[in-house]
Amino acid sequence: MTSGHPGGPRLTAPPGTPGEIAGIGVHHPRTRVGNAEIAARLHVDEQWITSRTGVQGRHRAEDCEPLERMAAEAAQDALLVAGTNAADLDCVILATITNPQQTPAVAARVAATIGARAAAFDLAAACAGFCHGLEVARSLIAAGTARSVLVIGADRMLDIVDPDDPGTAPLFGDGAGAALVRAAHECGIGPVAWCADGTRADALETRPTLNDSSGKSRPYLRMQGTAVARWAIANAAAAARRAMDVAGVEWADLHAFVPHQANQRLTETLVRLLDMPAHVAVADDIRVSGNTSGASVPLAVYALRADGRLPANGLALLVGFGAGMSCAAQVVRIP
Amino acid sequence: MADLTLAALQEIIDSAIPEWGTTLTPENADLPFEELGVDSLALIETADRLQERYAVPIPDAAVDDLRTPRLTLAFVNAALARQP
Repeated sequence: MTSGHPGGPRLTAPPGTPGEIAGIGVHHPRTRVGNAEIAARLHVDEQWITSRTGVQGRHRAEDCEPLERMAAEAAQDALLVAGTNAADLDCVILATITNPQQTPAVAARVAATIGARAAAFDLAAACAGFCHGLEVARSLIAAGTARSVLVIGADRMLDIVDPDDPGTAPLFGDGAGAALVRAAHECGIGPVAWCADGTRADALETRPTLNDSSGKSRPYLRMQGTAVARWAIANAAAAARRAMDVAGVEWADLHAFVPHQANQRLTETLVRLLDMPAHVAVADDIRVSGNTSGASVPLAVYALRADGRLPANGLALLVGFGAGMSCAAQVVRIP
Repeated sequence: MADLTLAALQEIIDSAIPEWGTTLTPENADLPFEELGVDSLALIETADRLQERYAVPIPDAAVDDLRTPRLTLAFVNAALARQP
């Protein structure tokens, strides 16, 4: 295995000013929900949940922990680690699909809370949102539009998950993660490999819509498990290979593989399809956090760094995939 | 293209689940895949490989109907028989 930067492998830099991740922050809501509670409501065995999903528990945000607060906590954490002042931010991007309001964007509130006088907007690409956000941040820096961009992924998935649906209720959790992306001398964020396929949009969507006047239920996430898993397996694996290719790295250069934490079994399938060598640490934060949608990739990166499986300045292959269907992958250096 | 046999299906599932260790026989071919240790993700992989190797379309909805080895053989071989 190659050692981390400096002296380690370099990423093929896209044109323009290079960008790098300077700090990652996270926020877990205080309340922990074990599988026993979920299993009892669904009338299933706890073992049924762990063996199918790998999820051993998840965090649930209470009323006093709104989305904007979770996002702001993670953001402040990332700023602190990066040694950056909120006042110096040029842009705040919040990847989320659980804004309880159609408008305004949560990002503007988050920017105000942390004391940023920056452009701020939400980005809706579900579980691929954080990786989309990284690419938008990288592009803004490459073009000279921004020098310092905060990318946050935050979701209160339990707001939109039907607690009586055995297909989704065991999987999801609430959380937030953030990365401070800034202009750098050397490339720390490789070119993106991304795609979308709206022909499969109905495989994972909230229903009913705002325009549905039947009023039978609040909007809940509805998932066609087979269709979603099939799309994810094919497209996440392809995006992972393409991201490595365009970044000019091989498995020997990589320290960690961080797929969106959708389901531990799905992660294991991807690892096998990609013929991943054993030295690459594989993110498994789904066990602790469940599927937190936009927050899942930064939470999983943070967990790998915190327990030392990912060394400082190691290279990680990130792959976000989810509703849309949408997918985005890139190789990044994690400080 | 030759018909899909239990032996050929065995080979495909073996590649999807390296540590599978089950042998398909006419006796267990009507058992649900789940009881044979083939979970939904392994079945998706199996469907993808069958689709590729036998050049028959297996839509997402059809994957959910491939509940046993025999139903899988029947689906693929019926699709092969329809081919010109």
